Amino acid sequence: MSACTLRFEGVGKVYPGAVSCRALHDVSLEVECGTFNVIQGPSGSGKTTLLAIAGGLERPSTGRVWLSEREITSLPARQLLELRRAELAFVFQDFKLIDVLTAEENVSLPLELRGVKAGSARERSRAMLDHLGLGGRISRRPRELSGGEKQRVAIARALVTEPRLILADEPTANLDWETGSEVVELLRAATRERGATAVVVSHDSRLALRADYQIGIVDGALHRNGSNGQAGDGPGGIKT
Amino acid sequence: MVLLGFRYALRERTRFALTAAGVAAAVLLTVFLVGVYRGATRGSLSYIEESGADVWVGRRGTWNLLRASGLIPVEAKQLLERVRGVVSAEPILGALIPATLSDGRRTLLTIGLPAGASLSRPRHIEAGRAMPRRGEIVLDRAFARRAGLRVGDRVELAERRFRIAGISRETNLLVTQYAFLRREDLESLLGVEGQATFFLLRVRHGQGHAVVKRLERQSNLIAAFDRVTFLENNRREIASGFLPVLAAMALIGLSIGAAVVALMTYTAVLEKRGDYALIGALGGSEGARFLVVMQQSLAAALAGAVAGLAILHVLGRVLPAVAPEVELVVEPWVAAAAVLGALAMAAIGALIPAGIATSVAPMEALRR
Repeated sequence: MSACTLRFEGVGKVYPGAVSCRALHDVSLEVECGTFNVIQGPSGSGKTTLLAIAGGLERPSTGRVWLSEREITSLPARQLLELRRAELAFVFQDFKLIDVLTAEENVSLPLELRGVKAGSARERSRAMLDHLGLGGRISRRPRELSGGEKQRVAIARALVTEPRLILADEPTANLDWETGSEVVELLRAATRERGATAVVVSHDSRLALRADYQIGIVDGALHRNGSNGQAGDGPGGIKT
Repeated sequence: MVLLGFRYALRERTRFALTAAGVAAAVLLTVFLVGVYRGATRGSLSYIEESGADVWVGRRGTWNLLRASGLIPVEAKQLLERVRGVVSAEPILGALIPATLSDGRRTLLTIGLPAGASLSRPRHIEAGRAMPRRGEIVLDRAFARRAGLRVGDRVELAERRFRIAGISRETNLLVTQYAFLRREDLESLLGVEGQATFFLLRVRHGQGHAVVKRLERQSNLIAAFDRVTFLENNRREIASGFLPVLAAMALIGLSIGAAVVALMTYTAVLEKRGDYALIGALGGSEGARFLVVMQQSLAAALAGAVAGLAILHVLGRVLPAVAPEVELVVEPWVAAAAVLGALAMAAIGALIPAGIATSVAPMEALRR
């Protein structure tokens, strides 16, 4: 298992309530380093819950999760936060940019939350925005950006911390076809250039076509879809 | 870290203005009351403090200038001056006397001065003379302004008219004001003769306390106080009437201010709940989210405190024309304490909203 592997072992998640809701059931999978992976499934199938557990934002009801060779299921909150800071980044469907901050400030925010000095954080965020073709937009606020630009800023925010695992939740859902394709290519390029691993949950068939590995999820359970040119349970990529 | 909380605060200008207005009102109310208290205290104590008297002697049972409980014959002057350590003794007569004005009656704390008074005459004179002659009076500035009186005008005290010889400052006690007559005039108003309520003593250097002890040993009919004790007694007299009201009003003001900050910050946190989840998902600690909320309330509190003090400054300029009795004394340390108090109030008010912001699950960032 390589250092940036994400591994689920018999993971289940039940949300308690008057009528308890089983979001995930006995999920086992392994995601390997440097791959672009897509998880597809209908609404309510458990995709987002899987992503949240992978990112340490939710704890599973059963089973165990490993991230970079560390079992995160029982990590105390503080250590989990440190691990998230060191290893992870999120990209959200609705961009989740903070509207009172400029593009540059939005990108530098996760760095500053990690204790990077403001000057250095701004420098790194400017370089990242420039790299993603947003050098002329650094002082714009989210309301002054198009949907595609917003998502590129969100990707810049995810990449600027140099994460080893990028978790993306429907990153193209709010974008038109062309812009969505650009965003997909951007994410793919980012994983390729930086050797990061991406796990993307999506309805979008374009993503599945460009994925190194893909998997389906229905009613909280995984089922094998195979992959683009490779077997779903072959070496590397997602193994179920 | 980017001052995200300040950005949130300034973005929602109406909410920011309302919160700042709540804080400004609380600061204004509190500092105004403190200023009035300090003004009344200064008016009460300045006369005693600056008289130069080392020891004050009154009838037994007396413990401050406002509550003289009896009279002492002026012949006691010679006895007092024979006490070891005493340099001079100056008798004054004090009484609350109603003055008749065009809009009704007002009571004056009237001091009857002996001829050639050196210790007991008013120290700060705005116009005219400090020492009245027979048939003359020296009035406090606030009283004169309220009544529209000037030097040379006449004023009626207990159905006798006096010519105004001077106008004094720092002789305003808010509820009443000092006025100065010749002792003989006051005796005639009161229907007494050869009486004093206090003797103001000058003693040899460093002998104040010893003289007090000697006087108390020699007579059980009198009460003697060194200057510091007498000042403290008078301060307590003012404080006993003022401080409970002041404390209650300040507490109410600060509570309302804190409630306004709490309510406004609470709604701000609820509106930005998604951002707090996002900050958590991006790796922000609970402390970072706590600080963002605190920044919002502290920004509003700082703006409110500054606005409150600015309004008070304007009020201080306008007040002498509309309410001359209300003398505001706001020292820099009071203003600084008000700003710190407002910040503390805002911090307390923001505790619950900050608690909510820190408890937002980062998972919520993934929900749509």
